[in-house]
Amino acid sequence: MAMNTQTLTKRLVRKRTTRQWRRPAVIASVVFLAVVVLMAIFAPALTALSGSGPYEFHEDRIDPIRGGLPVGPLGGISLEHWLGVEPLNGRDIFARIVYGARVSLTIAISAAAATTVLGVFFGVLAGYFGGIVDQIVSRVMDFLMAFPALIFMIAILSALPQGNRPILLITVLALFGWPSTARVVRGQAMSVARREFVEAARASGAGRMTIVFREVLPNLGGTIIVMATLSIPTFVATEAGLSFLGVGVQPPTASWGQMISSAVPWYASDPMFFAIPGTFLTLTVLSFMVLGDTLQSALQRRSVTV
Amino acid sequence: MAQHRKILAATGMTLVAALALSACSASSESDDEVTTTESGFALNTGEATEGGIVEVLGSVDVSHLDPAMGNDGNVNNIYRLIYRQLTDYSFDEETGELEIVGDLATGPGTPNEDSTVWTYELKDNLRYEDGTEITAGDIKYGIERSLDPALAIGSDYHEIIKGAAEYAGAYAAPEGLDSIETPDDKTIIFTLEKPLAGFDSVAATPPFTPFPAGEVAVDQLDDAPIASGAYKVEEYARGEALTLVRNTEWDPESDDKPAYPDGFEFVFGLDPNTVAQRMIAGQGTDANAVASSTNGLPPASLAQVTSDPDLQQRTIRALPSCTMYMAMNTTNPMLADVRVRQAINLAVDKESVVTATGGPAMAESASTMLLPSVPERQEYDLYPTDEAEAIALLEEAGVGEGDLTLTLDVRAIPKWQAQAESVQQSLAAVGITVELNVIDAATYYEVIGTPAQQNDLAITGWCSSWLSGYPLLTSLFDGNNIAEKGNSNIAQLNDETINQRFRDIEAISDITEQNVAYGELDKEIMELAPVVPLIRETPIQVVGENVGNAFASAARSGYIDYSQLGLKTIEE
Amino acid sequence: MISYTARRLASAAGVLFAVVLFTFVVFFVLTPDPALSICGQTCTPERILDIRTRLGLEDPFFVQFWTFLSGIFVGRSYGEGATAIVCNAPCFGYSFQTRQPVLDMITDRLPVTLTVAIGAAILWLIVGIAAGVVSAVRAGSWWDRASMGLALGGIALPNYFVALILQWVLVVKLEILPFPIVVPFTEDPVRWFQAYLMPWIVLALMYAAMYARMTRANVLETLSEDYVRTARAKGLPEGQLIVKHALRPALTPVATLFGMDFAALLGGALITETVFGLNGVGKLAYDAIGTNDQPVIMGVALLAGIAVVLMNIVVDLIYPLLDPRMRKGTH
Repeated sequence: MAMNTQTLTKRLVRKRTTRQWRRPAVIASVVFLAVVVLMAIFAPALTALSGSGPYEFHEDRIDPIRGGLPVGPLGGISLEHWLGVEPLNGRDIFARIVYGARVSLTIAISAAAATTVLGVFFGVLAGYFGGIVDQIVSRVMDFLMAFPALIFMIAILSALPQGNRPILLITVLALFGWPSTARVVRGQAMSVARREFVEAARASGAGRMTIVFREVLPNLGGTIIVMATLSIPTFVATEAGLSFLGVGVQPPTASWGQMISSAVPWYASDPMFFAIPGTFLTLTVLSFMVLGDTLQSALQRRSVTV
Repeated sequence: MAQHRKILAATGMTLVAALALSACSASSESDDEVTTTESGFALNTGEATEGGIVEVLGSVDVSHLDPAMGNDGNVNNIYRLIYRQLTDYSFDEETGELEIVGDLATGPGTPNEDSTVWTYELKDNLRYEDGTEITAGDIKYGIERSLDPALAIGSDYHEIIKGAAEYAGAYAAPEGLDSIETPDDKTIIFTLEKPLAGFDSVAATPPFTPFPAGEVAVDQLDDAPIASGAYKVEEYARGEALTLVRNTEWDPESDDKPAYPDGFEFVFGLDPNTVAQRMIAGQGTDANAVASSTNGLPPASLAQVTSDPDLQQRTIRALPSCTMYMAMNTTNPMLADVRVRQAINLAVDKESVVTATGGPAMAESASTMLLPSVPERQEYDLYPTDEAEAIALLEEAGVGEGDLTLTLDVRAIPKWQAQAESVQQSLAAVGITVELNVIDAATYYEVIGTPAQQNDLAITGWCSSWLSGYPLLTSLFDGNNIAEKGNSNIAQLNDETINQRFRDIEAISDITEQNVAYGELDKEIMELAPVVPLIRETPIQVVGENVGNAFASAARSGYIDYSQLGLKTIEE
Repeated sequence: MISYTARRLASAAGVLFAVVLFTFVVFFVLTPDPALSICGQTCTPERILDIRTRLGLEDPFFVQFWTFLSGIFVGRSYGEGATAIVCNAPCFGYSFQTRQPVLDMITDRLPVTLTVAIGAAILWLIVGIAAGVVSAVRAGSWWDRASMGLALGGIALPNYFVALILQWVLVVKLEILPFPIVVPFTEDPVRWFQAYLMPWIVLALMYAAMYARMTRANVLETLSEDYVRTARAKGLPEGQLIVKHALRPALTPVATLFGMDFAALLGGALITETVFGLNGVGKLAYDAIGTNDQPVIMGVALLAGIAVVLMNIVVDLIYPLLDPRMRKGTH
């Protein structure tokens, strides 16, 4: 009887899992993310197609007499400028959106990767090895999590010279981001460390590192993937926030957060200028979150059957 | 009001275009007795009466209340409310005439034959806020304390007084300067290092504010000024507000200023967008307010103003007092050839820079280094934008397309960066590659002012409230002024002929003759093309409905003269 | 209990010290020369050295740190003699650009930040928790899906974007609200309310979304616990069940998180304040970044860090009181 229930549960779970992936919200998210990623990868080709680069001025598309407002409705949307132009300099918004996608995604994914690596490393270190190592790492984690991260990130970034901004951003984001990953990994590592197969491996004389790589990490695989995926939207949002405040990516490099920042004084006379990057930003973050959530529930269901 | 604005917005562009920059003649009367200028803004917002409080909304605090230390358009404007100097400027906004008049002095000074000795007589009945009389010795003390190294960060033109440049200041050397004599309480005589026909303008600078001789501590005035003007400080909450009330000891007969309001309330720390929106909305007490000189209208709000005639009638377009220019480092071998520099001048599209700054309402292109209000100035354009000619000139100099790469230092402020990008684009069109080196706003001047650190090109501004070639040209183009640190001659121009011209002109003792000579020198310098004059900003200041006698004054760096403001009607 | 408290306090003191040290080190390493901002445009190397010595910037690191640390407790002065600048206890730094002690600048701005934080907190607690509870109770219904969908949107929308949308819709298009201008409550309550309404909504939206999701998850978990099922089997009405048995333990983690979030807000809701032009602590930090006023940035960062650590302690100490399971020691 038990066997049957188990097989039945497995089949039901698998059905529900696939059905979950077919929900419209999930499909829409995946599609949108694919579009954004493609936009980012093929940015140069796309701008060659649309005819305007992200840094060129198009002064014929703005009206200097009215303070630089774009000519035409909806912020200057036309056949040559698919998403309109920026006020004051007439830069093509579509070009800046696709190049901004590059910046945002590169930084967010790199930061997520770095955070995951650091988080897994320290999490396993603390959770599996325990003892004084755990004490030290946990104290450091507590300490870093106690900080008002945003203010410190801003302070650090504003004090640094105009160096390689993307690298600086990734470093700072990872520095304050790894504790939350590490904390979860630590908890999981601790519980995995007590499992029978780990005991068995230890008893059979396997070295510590072998155990970590062969037994512990694979069992954390699902968690790691979910955490990494769920951290991406946070980093997209944080990078945008930092660029909004002027300490992230520097002009003229395009970044969605920075575009919104430039759009603040124009909110009344040219709302498209803030609406377009804002919408892209929101939908990107949203899509990643839906994806992450779906992965997380898929992972939970899988662990239920085990 | 909102309905009104919506209809106007619908009528749209044509109305705006008609009002904004038509080429019609100077003034036209509107039904509200407000004269307008040719750009459509008000020439003078109307008549003012006595009484009431004028509010000034701004984002930044006053830099220093001690007149020895402050030196920018806004703080100089505020100084004129609480302090008086030997002389002042008088400006007629309708004729554009600017002249020197006596403020504490009975009139402009009396020079000797070669303008090296200047004598001033003081008016009667001049008093501080506590009733004590102001004497010539107090003016001498004010100047001497301003030379103390801890205070000497403000205007420094008075260092032309003999011995002033080496003088340790009134606190270290209380015996004072022999070159400033006060034979009696009402006479003061200055002996200068060298001739200066325009010394009256120096006597108008803030260090010439009197203070009770020997009784003022070195750091006292920043918190508690001693007023000699029409108003005194009632309260100063740093970063928040500055409250001025009438100085009851001030004698109106001794001063040309009208002093209409009973007081001023300066509010600081407001967000710039907030100030713009509040002034446009003009609700409640904001009708009695003006936007500070530090808060010109941002380009984003321009359309709102220009599409509404009522708003335009209470908007003033300031006169230009600064020239934004791009200095070219002449010590760089690539820029040593004058033809290359001239080609760069021909290549830069200044209209594009104007657009990047907010459009024709907020800036105008510049082709000279002397400001338009400078007497005897010549208007010329040696290098009207011509891409083809620029390319030809470059070829002549042996520079082909793509041969030249230059680094442009730019300050990390969005407006300046936009201007730099505009220049970058112009030069790219003639085959010159420009790389932008964005420098932190706080350290920018240090970098470009240090010849060892500066790069090939730099965009910066040069301003002066003293309208003469003496301050406007000398620091920038005299080869003798090139300094290792704090250098203003960023182009590092060191031409023997030009240097000699400066010496010769400074020796001229007649002010008109001197001004004419500077006007010519301006052009001679531009023939060597050490810089590219870019634009001059004309900030737009919005005032409340109930604020009268607001006009752009060349006597106050082109901004609205606070000392002339008043309310139109007083509510009981 | 006493020893637990004592241990927590001791560890907290350690963390606080680490926070101060870390902050100081970060700013010590990164700070550009403040002497430059005092010096002005016409500066000589001698004058810069003179200013630096006067401010104690030429002293070794540990001397500077000690002066800073002791300054927090007993105050300190910069420079000597007649031109000394005195910074009274507690001294969190001195801004040379505005010539004010940093703490004064912060306390001047605190009322605005508190108004924003408290108003938003009330809003997000009510909306977030209510939505979360209802969603949990009606798990799977369209209401649940709709509100969780909205919550997701609330988290994904950047708050500056929401601020702009709200302003554009309410102020420009529909003209329901006037342009927000902060006036004291005593002067004009209506305008005061109108000025703070949008910042409250913007800030509350994000937190309400997070709290709704968290509350829902927690309530679902507690509703499936044994003791709740027992109570239900005993015949307790559903309403009482939820409030008495499920809600309290479900809300405990929410309460602890609220403590942390609120403390972080006291560091100023930087972005919200900046977009709406509210002169709070967050905007102070933002403006200081623009003018590179390092002492102010450091002071705000330090105080925010201290606030968070202190709130951590408070939460840890109150936790046993809140959670009946922990108190009884049965978990």
